[in-house]
Amino acid sequence: MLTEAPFTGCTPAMEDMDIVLAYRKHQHATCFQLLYDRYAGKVYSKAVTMLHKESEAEDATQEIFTKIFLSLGKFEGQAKFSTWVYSITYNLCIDKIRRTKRSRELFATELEDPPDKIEEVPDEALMTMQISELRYVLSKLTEAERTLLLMKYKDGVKIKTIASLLGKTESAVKMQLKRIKEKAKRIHDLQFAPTI
Amino acid sequence: MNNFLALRDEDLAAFTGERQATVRKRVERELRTAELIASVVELFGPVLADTLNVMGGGDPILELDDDDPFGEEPSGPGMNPDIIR
Repeated sequence: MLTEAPFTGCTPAMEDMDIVLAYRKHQHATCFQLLYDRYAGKVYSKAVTMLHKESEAEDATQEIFTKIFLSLGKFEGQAKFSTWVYSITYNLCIDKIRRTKRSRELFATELEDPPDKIEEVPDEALMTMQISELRYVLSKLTEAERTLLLMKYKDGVKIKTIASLLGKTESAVKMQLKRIKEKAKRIHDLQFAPTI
Repeated sequence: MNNFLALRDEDLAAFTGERQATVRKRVERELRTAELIASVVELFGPVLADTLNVMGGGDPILELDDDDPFGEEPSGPGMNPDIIR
C-alpha cells in the first residue's frame, strides 16, 4: 500500500500559491520563511513610501506580516498573492496615517477645482533627476505630496488603485499628481538649474 | 531610466540581514502568541460560556465527559491475596 511521503518543507522553486497551500496544511517553518523572505523588503519599501520613517515602517512591516499569516486562510487565490499582500500593506499604512490624524491632506478632496493652466511636466523630467536631487526635491514636498509621488513612480501603483485606496476619483488623483510634478520640477529648477 | 527605482532599491538594500531577521522573529512571536490564545479559547471557551450560562440560571448546554461512562461501581480488590491489608 502506498502512503503519502511526509512533508519536509517548502522549496524556493515553489510558486507563491503552492507555498500558501502548504503553509495552511502543515504550518511548516520553511513555508513561513520563504514567503517572508520573498516579500519582506518589498513590503518594507512600500511602508516607507507611506509612513516615511524607518522605525514606523519596520513596525508596520511586522504588523502586516502578522496580519498576512493570520489571514492566510481567507486568501482564495482569485488575485495574485503579491496583489493581496500589497493591498494589506497599503490599507494598514493608510489606517495608521488616519489614526494619527497625520497628513489629512492625503485624503482631502479638493472642493474648488480651478481650471488648470499648469503645463504637464513629463514623467522623464522627474525620473531622470539625480538621486541626491530627487531626495532634495522629495524633502521639500509635503508628506501627502511625497506619498502620492512615490506611490506612482517608486512603487508603480496604478492611478485607479491609488484612487480607490485614498477614496478619491481617478481624475482628482491625476490632477493632484500633475500639480505635484509641476511643484517638484519647480523646486528642482530653483535649486539645481544652471544659472546664466 | 527611473531614479525612483533606485530609491526603491536603496530601501530594499536597507532592509536586509539583522533588521529583516529581527522583524521576522517579532512576527513569529506574535503568531505563536495568537496560536496559544486561540488554543486556550478553543479549549476553555465553551466550558466558560456554559458556566456563565448556568450561573445566570440557564440549563447547561454542554454534556461534559463522564468519568464513569458505564455507570458501574469499581470492582474493588476482592479476595486478591497479593494485597497487603
